Amino acid sequence: MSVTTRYTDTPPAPDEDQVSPIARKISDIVLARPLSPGWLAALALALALTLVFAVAIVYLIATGIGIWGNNVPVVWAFDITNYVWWIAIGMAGTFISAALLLTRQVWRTSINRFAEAMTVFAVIIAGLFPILHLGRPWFFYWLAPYPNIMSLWPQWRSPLVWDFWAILSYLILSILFWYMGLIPDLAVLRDRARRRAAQIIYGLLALGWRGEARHWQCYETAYRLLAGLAVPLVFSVHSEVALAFSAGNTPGWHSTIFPPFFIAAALFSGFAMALTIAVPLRSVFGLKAYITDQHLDNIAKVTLACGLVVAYSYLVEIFNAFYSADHYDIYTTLNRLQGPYAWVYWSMLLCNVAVPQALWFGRVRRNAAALLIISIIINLGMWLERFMLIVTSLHRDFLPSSWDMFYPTVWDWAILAGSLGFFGLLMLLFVRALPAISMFEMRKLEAEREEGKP
Amino acid sequence: MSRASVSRLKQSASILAVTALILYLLGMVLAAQRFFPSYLVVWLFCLGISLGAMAILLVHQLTGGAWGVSLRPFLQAAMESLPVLALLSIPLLFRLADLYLWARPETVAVSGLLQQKGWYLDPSLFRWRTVIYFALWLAIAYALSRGLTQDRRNIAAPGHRLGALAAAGLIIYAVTITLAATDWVMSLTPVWRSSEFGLLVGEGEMLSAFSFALVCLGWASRGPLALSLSHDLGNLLLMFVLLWAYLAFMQYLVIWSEDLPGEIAWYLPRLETGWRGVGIIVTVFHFALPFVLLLSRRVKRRPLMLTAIAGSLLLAHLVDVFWQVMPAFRPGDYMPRWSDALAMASIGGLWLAAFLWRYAAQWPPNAAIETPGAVHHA
Repeated sequence: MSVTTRYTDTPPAPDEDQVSPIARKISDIVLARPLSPGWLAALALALALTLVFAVAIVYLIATGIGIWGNNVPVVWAFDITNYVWWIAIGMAGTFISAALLLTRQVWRTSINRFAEAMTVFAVIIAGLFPILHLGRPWFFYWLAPYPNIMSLWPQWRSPLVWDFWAILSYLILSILFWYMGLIPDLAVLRDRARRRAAQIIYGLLALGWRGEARHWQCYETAYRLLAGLAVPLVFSVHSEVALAFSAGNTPGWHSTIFPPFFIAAALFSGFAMALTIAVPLRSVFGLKAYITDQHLDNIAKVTLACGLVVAYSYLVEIFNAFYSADHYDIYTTLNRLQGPYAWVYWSMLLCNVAVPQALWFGRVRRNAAALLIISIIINLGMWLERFMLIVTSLHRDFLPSSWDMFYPTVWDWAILAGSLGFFGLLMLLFVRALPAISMFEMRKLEAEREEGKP
Repeated sequence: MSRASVSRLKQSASILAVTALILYLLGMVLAAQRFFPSYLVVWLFCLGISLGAMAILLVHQLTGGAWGVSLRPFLQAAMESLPVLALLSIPLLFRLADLYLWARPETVAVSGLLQQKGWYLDPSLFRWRTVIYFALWLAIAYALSRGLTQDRRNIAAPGHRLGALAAAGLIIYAVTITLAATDWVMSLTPVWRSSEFGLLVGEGEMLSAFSFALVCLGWASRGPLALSLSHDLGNLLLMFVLLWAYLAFMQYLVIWSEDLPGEIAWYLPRLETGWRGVGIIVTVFHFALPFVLLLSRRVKRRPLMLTAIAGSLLLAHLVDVFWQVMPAFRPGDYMPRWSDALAMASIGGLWLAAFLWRYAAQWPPNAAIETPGAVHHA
């Protein structure tokens, strides 16, 4: 550990020569880089959208769900679509950080930090939607088992109750995992900061980290333990999201493949979002030496593999409906393929199945601009997929007399756009307030390479 | 392994093959109708090892890793036993009415559901599909086996991987195994369907193949395994166990929570009759016990322990296949019969003979790239 402690063991202000070039380069983005007009413009846009988000939420709470297009029979629409979409984006961050750590994939090192930030922000936003869709969000704590005089007790067999626990524990663990990994880097920022306020803030956050061997020993153990916890947790979260659909009897939802399918779909959209963030991040802040073309190539390969599993699930769903000879399942499938929302289904296939096939080609995988475009198309396709799953099953189920269409209102769009803006705001603040790449892990990787280890 | 032990291996393989063939003919002649359900169980179990081996080899072509190199000889030989299973499927194809309700015209005539499902569950379509599955599987196995042999004899460029074959092969495997699992197993209960079943069967096949290869590695390597290799193999086995348990439980949970007649038709005979005990055995030995043991770092670093766990998992998988297939023929009666033992000895014996013969055919290996970590002695 001597190499990695070099820049933290001489408090309070280390000799600048002792700071490794990697740490200097990455921490300078936070400490020394002036605010660029581009970043400020992006921030202004994100702030404006966040304001829209806030207004939409306040108006929703003051008025009620009626401001959305939701109505019987389509009682879930944009709200739950947004929820599933956002929580799925979080999957890749946890997977990159935890699963790739446990399987010793060293290429994760330069992408895990911003992917974890992406996870935390996405899960925070995702967690808002189930609360908002309650109608009376101020009673959301009724989902928790607490002593009360209303004889109120959660139905433990309901996936909606598991939902509450799954999101909560996932959020807590994501934040802990992210923060744990940040501590050594926060100490570098503390030591290199020149302004008093920054020294105090980073100093408090660094929890007195001095880079002692004992610190590192505790750190390594705790980090691996958290990673070991994160992997099953992330599986449970997405299985639970799937069960919220498949445990019910609605045609098109009640399907045993949903839990594994939702995990693959979450990885698919999460890795696509990681690409959407990585490509601009590395070109704006000049990090191409760390987030290399090889990294993008690897992310693209994983995206392609997940996309193939998702395509397999679409196929199996169709086959299973016809194999079952179940009247309602067959109708729902035909309605998806030919009904009023057929354009959503076919757009989804175009975005999630057809377009990602370009990733078979090495030249596409090594072209950052192409990857950016494909990843945005996949993100769009995954949103359409959730919308398709939710709305097509609800709008025409068992009772033709209650069939109806769903039409989004301006508030549906406002809250979707607002959530994107809020996510953008958090990411923009993150890249300027915290190191977007793990400095000490990069340094360690470099030291190992110098020593000739793989 | 020396030249003498290779010829000994070939000799035992041929003795085994002749004995198994005699037993097989005995079973066919003496008790054809009773013999076929047992036949199906053992045939599916052996097919699972061969196909699972093929799938793992394909995955290894994409990912690489020392674990795959050490297991490769056994996986390759298991995959190369596939033609025997293709031949053994022929008698089954002519006795479909003994196995499947939907293949009996008199049953279909009185069942509206079976008539509706006739577009898929039809004897001649079933036979055609089986021919197509085997044609595809044998083609992949042939191409992969050729590539691996060239690799071993250093004919191909060093570091050469069969990436395109692996990707195409895995896609074909995923689709065909889903349909084959529907054909051979799911349709035993014609009213039942589960969209996850193909994944569950495919994963179970890979788990049994991996366990089989681990047992073989324990048998073939006299010297100690490298600790880190043993640890990695243990972790991979743990991953297979977890994934299998996850898929099996999710299928059960989704069906349990909705409690629909057509869906619980699969689980009632398997869990609410005498078969419940077998289900519990599967849960304990296919999941709980190996899961707890494989969490331990010390267990994973003891090759003998690892071999024992893999062996018990392999047996548990056989029980699992038995538990999936047999309740359709013997509702409530879980005791194995002599026909089961006969099928195990004959079909299992034929498959094992083919495996040993293909394994012996790999020698002499190019020692430089063969099985790093595992030390082979004469």
